[in-house]
Amino acid sequence: MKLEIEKYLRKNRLRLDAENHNEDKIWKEIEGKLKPERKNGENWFWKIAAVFLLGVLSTYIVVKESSDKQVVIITLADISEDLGKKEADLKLVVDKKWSEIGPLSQSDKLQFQFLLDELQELDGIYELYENDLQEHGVNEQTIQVLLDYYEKKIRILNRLSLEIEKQKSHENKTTI
Amino acid sequence: MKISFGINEVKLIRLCKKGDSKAQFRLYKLYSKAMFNIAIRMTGNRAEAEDVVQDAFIKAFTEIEKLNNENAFGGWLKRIVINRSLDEIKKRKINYLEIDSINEKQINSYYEIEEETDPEAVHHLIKKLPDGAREILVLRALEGYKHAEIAEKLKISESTAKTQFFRAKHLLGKLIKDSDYEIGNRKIPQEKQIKA
Repeated sequence: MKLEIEKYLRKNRLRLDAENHNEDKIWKEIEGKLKPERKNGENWFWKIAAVFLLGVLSTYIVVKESSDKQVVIITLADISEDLGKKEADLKLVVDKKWSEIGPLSQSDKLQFQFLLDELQELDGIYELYENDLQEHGVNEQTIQVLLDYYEKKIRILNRLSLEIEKQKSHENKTTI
Repeated sequence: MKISFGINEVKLIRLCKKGDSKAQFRLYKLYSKAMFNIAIRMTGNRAEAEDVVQDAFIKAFTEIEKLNNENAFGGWLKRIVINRSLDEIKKRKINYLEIDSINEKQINSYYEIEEETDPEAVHHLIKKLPDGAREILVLRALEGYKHAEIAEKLKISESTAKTQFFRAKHLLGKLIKDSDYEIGNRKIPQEKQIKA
């Protein structure tokens, strides 16, 4: 039976797909060209992972910093009542010494600059140990250094007071 | 185009969207032979058809996220294969003949063939059709494109597309008549591609 070509082709459409191709060879080519694409995908994965980790780390640091700042400042009085009392007594002595010395004149400042420098250095050391106390908590050595600070300060203030007295008596003698 | 198989194609496509190479290979196994046969009928050349299939699958797998209707993978892939085949054919700078240059008496002959003719032999004879006639016959009679769509794709007039289609049918009919295949002989002829 005869069929019009177009009808024949439509009727036998699937049976026309009879030719075989080099399936494995073509797949290898496809696979080879798709792999770099996958690599890019992996790179993107690692980039996203890195950004995510960076975000987590930054958040952690910010949270830690702000929580550190919220730590209540520890003084010797917070550690124990005795230590607090000792510190308060020593502070009183220091204040008393300063009031005895009174305001320093310009010439006194120049003359006893070495003692004033020592006091400033001592304040710096105190500040360092005070920070230690905030950051690392209570430590026997830190407590001792903080108490020593007052005693050393009192000694320097005593010396300053004596030196000023000496200077005054010397000035009195020379004027008489 | 619909190829029937026992596994869930949509599932394979979803895996392909995630870059699963095993799923890609399974889809390739399912569709590559059909796509190769389309490409070789379109181009008439094995090496070009293999390149077309390779490029088409690479494009399909890299752009598979764009496929919204996951049930339409076959049709989508076929369009990629056809477009890629047309790109190959365009390199040859084909001069499509206008209707005036065709002998209408010749066109109207050889339109009918024996129903028993071997389809595999016809497949090989389609490949022997000249450029211009071959791809229009494939697009119109096998892939269901309308003359207007073919004209748009090949950047020719609709009347030229129709003329070329009639000419292609005539040439194919002549090839079948001139060969022994109309009675089912599967031997493939070795003669050169016929001239336009």
